[in-house]
Amino acid sequence: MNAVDMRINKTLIRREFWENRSLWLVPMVFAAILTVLSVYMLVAVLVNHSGAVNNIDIDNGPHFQISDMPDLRDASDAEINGFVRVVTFSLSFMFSRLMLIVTFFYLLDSLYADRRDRSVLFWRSMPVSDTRTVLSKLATAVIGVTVVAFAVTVAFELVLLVLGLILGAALGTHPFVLLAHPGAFLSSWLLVAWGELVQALWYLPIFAWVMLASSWAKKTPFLWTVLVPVGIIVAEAWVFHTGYFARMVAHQTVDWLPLAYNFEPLAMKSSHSFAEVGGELFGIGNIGKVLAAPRLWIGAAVAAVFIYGAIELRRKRSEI
Amino acid sequence: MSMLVKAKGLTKRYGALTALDHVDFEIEEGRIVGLIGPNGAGKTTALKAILGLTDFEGELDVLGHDPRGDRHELMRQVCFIADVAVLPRWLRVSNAIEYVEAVHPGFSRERAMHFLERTKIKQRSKVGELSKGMVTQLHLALIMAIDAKLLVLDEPTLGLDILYRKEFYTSLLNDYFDAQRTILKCSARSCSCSRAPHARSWPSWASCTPPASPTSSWRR
Repeated sequence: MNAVDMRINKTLIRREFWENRSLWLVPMVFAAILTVLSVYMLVAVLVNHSGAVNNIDIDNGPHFQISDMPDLRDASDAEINGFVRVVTFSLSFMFSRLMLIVTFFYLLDSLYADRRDRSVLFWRSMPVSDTRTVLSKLATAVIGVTVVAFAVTVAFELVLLVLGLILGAALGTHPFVLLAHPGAFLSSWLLVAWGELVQALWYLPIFAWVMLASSWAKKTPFLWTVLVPVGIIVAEAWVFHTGYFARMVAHQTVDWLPLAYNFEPLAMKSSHSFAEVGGELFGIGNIGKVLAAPRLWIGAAVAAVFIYGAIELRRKRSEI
Repeated sequence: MSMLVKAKGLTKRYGALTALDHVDFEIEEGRIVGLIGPNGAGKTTALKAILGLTDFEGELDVLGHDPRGDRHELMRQVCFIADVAVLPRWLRVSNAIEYVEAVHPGFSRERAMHFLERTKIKQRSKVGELSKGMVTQLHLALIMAIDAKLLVLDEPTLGLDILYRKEFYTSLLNDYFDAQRTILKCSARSCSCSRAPHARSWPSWASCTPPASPTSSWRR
């Protein structure tokens, strides 16, 4: 790909962020709200805390005991790794759920909004092929949104780390030991990024389906997106008394998780076992497992068919 | 003089309605061609076929391309402005310029700024904040800054006040039009073109060679 093509692709994706400010505003506002809440908690804890008080109660908030908080100087490397990993993963997971919702609504409008306001006539008067336009919107959903969400998540986690350091210092748990383990943070973020990538691949056919509906609909793409699969589920249940289609869709949204990571979900549940979630979470074998999964390739093929349909409709149905 | 557009048996049906019925026409290079007819005559349909915005039956060759398949190739050499303001409300003026500059090899930022300087349009404004006339001005500034062989205008001056309309046609003829360029313009009213239409049925075609004194002979 030459420099001109790169510039066009970059501009097409930036165009999507100009139009759909929610793609970056939503994660930033969410992070800002969480930051305010965290600061509030921190202040509340610091105000309520004195040497004599061991129990901390926040009105309608969590209750915890200072004696529960471990002295990080006693923690092993594996425990610190596990602790950082659990915190990083839970926060990133929250952001990634949120972005799935934002992406869904973005894609619903992606090939419909400009037909509704007729600006499609302007966009199609430019020397950009319909294939390129559609793919740029898919790339925005898969790559653009992921990168933005990831950057916001990491920034938020760094803010939270600073707050955590202040809290820990005030409570005497020697939190600065954490800073001696930058590898724990970097490896966690890398693993999160890997998970986001795999998740995006698994969601490809779903994203592509939403785009097809968006390209097809003369009004309310939402109804097409939702009613067609619901209709299939109902028809299947009615005629065959089975639920294969529903199960297939549901599996597509979660099946990547045990392939991308060596999750032992129970290890997450048992308390005080941060060390267990340490080094075993990911190995080179996971890449092989993901690539060997039939769902990845069948999903990609289905996505390709849907995207092809969306491009053809874009070509033929430029006006509502 | 070569032919920019060649149509043979061009037909377009919307269900039971036949908008274009086996229309033949050719458009020569370096001319200003007016496509004239009442509402519903099929003017816009013909333009859309030329621009690759609609499917059709028959043969149509625009600058050596079939508009149905090669729209994006064609759009390197063809510009068009549709009948109403179609710039999206969320688009910022500076972003619109940035976008066209990136995707269109024939776009000149200097020319666009030159046109915009004569208007009250601000770089920071969004299209939704502009008046209808200003949106048209912005669209015209973007399109006229593109070095294209064929410029297609579909009633582009509807939203403009009379002073700017006159200025627009003056600058279109003085700054934009030359022997290498062709302008295809569609209107429900006739213009004072010097040639008689050379198609027999609606829509009819009027063509004029570059006038010596543009403002006097090209008037609405």
